[in-house]
Amino acid sequence: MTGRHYDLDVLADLAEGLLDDETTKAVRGHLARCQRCAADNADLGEVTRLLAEAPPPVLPASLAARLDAALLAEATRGAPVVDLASRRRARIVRFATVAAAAVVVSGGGLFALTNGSLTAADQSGPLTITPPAAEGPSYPVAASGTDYTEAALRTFTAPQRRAEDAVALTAAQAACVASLVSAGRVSFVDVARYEGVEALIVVVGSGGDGVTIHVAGAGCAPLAEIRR
Amino acid sequence: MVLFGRGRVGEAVPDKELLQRHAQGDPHAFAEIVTRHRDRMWAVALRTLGDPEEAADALQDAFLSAYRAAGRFRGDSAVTTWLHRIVVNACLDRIRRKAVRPTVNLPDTDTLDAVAPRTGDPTAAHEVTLDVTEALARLPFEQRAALVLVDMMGYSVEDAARVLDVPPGTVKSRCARGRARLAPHLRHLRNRRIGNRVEPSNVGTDVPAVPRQGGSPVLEEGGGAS
Repeated sequence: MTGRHYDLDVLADLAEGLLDDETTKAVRGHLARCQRCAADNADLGEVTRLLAEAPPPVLPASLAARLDAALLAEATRGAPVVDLASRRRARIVRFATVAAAAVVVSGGGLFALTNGSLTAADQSGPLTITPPAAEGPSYPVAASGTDYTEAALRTFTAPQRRAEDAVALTAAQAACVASLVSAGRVSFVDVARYEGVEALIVVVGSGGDGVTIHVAGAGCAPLAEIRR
Repeated sequence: MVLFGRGRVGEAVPDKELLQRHAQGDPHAFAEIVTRHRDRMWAVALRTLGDPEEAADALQDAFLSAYRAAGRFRGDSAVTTWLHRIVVNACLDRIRRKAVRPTVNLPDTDTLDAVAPRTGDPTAAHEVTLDVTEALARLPFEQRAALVLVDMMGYSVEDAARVLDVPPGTVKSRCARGRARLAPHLRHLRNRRIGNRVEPSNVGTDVPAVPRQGGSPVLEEGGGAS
């Protein structure tokens, strides 16, 4: 009690039932008579109300993608998790990178880009390249960020490759591709999305043998496998 | 032909079973846990640290810790409680290791938008949230963490005590201390609303319609023992 009034700590303790019976009774009696303490007490209630009503923050899509990428890297043993120092500097840019999911297509040259969708992401922001796996992939890779649907993949054709589109997969993404496909037959990979979630689109095989498109999401979890 | 449906790990699978599957090598189980809980964990981390970059680092640290520690989860608490504890500890780690700068001065619009998303009421709710965030940043970590869990996330004192690994009485005390320190800094919000927007008799009901996260939160999952 300061002077003739109770301080906020005492009133806050009262609300939590932390005061002994005698003090509780005294403070309650005082509150009934003292406007100033009653106002302070109301302010305390207001604090809880304001905190409760604060709208929850929205998880940025870029962070969701970063978490997926980090866990994917963790899942593929030995693959380095992005180190903290470089992470801090390049955070925004990297968010844009990993926000894309990966799509792998095999049977190079047999696929034609249906409607320019693979370069659509060019407008959505810069794509940077995280360091490639130790042994870089021998297949073409794009990071289009395109949100594919199953229907789109059924008619999907690999894009004309342009030098400036060349990107490298992260070690984790490369490991994911390697885990999906034995080797050598991958014809195209796109770091993109599938039905709204980040995904690697991996195109395997050529027209003669049939084409398989693997779609892998967070943690390299298979989202779809399309044969045609 | 779609060989793998997206609902392969169905929503009906309890968290505990997902964690067991993960520990046994199921490559998809943990991703499902992350998807289920990352929004709430982000809210806890961001509100506790007040800095989106630090909070993002803490959240990543936390999920990686959980990923690695899943095999040691003994099932004597709910998975959500366990995850909250890992997130809160990751936040505390970041503060200890990096001596996070005081976040009273919030740096830029990106930060502000992360902390206080623009909602239906673009002015009042946004500004109130910013003031709340700034005021919270003035509190010691322990008081802030308790208030984030109890007053902001809406968990019971008992649940918060399990997350923070302290007795319920300690949670109550930290909340009380924190509210007492916040009250002077938030008093102006009440005055402003009285002055600008509502009649005094309506003070108590002048609540911007702000959606809360998915109803009343419960830390105990279905069928989970604690």
